[in-house]
Amino acid sequence: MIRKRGKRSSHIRFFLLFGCLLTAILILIISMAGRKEFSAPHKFGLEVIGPFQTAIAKVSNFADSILGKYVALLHVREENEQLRQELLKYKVANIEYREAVATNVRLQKLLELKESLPPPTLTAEIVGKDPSLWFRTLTINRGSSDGVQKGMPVVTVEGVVGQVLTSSPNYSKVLLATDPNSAIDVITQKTRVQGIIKGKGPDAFALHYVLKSAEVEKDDYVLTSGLGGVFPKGLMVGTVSGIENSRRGMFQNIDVIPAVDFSQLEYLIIIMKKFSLTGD
Amino acid sequence: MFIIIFMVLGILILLLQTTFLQLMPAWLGKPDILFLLIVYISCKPDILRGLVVVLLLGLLMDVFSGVFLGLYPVIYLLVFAFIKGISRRIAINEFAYQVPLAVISYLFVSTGMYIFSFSLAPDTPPQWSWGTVLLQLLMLTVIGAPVFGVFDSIMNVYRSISASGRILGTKRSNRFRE
Repeated sequence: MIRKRGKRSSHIRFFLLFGCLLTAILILIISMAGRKEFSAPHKFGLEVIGPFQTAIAKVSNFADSILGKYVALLHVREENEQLRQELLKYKVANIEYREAVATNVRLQKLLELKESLPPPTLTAEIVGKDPSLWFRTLTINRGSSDGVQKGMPVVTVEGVVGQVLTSSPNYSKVLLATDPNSAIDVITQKTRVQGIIKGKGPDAFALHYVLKSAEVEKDDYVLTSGLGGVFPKGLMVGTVSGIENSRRGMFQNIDVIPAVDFSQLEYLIIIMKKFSLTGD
Repeated sequence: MFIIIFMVLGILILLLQTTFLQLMPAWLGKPDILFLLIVYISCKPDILRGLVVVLLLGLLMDVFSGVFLGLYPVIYLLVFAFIKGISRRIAINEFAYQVPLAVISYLFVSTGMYIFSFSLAPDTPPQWSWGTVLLQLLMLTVIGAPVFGVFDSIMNVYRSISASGRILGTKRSNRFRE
């Protein structure tokens, strides 16, 4: 009897305890759901934990930002590399494009000149330049198999370049007008004074055999006279840049700037037939 | 083998000089590496084969440069004779002498070029420019040592090839039996 009472009272205590706990939890849940403001314990807990939380948050934020920046940097580096590659690609493309345009313009001019000259003419490309200090010659990719012969005039759009010195079946050597051994019969455009142009250094001509009595003006154009039978009449040679009359001698010392930039030569035109541009 | 190796080398240098080195700016000048090769060959004791190479390179140079055919072989052979003459008194095969010798020889060649061109065409004398000549001399001084170094290494390769060829290729009879 006494055992049965003990068992029943313990069950009642358990249910009471469990009921009270459940009720308290229910009351807590209902009270929290209903009120929006922190209660005192909440505030206390927050005040205690808050500083640590802040500190940890700061550290984690710092770490996160560092990591984020590092990851971003990695991406930026990759992106930078990619952009650099793209830039390089576009630069190369741009250079190729410009080169193509420049070649096109040059060839267009050559074509125009070629059309203006009576046929036959032949276009040639420079394959080599004279390595010595004493002579000025070029090697071109046209030879006797193309009909190139010794003495044929070689020109560009700007003017006279020189004449063919020797030729093999596929290549020729061109004596530049700037070589001291070159001599071209010329005439000044305005005053019609005749003389002979000879090479004087890498980028200069000297106009020889012009009498002191002859009138030559500075900046006057110098053209081929057609005399001598090598160069046709009327081709541009250069511009008079300086005139000096020394006391001694019969002739004037006249400097001429070449019309052609000899350092920029690429394509040339060989005039295959000796003729005069004015039909003389 | 000596002739072939140095002729091929000379042709390569000539190609370089007529094309790639022409792109160098005018104020910097264009180094005459082929001339250094001529000096180097002239310094070597092998007279006959050296003479053949110098002559052939001179003839080749005539094709790509100049107006008067035969000028380069004559000038190069004179350089060869000049260096051989000096070699009787000084041990020019030594590395230290080669660069000054190249510079002196270039001055000699420039003078020779001028005199020959002037005598061949008195009406059109070449332009003597001290600035250009001195620039070339300076350039030869600067590049001389490394270029001679390269030539030396090529020469060593040639020597090792010819030495191994001698050992492997030819079987001599036992001279003690004869």
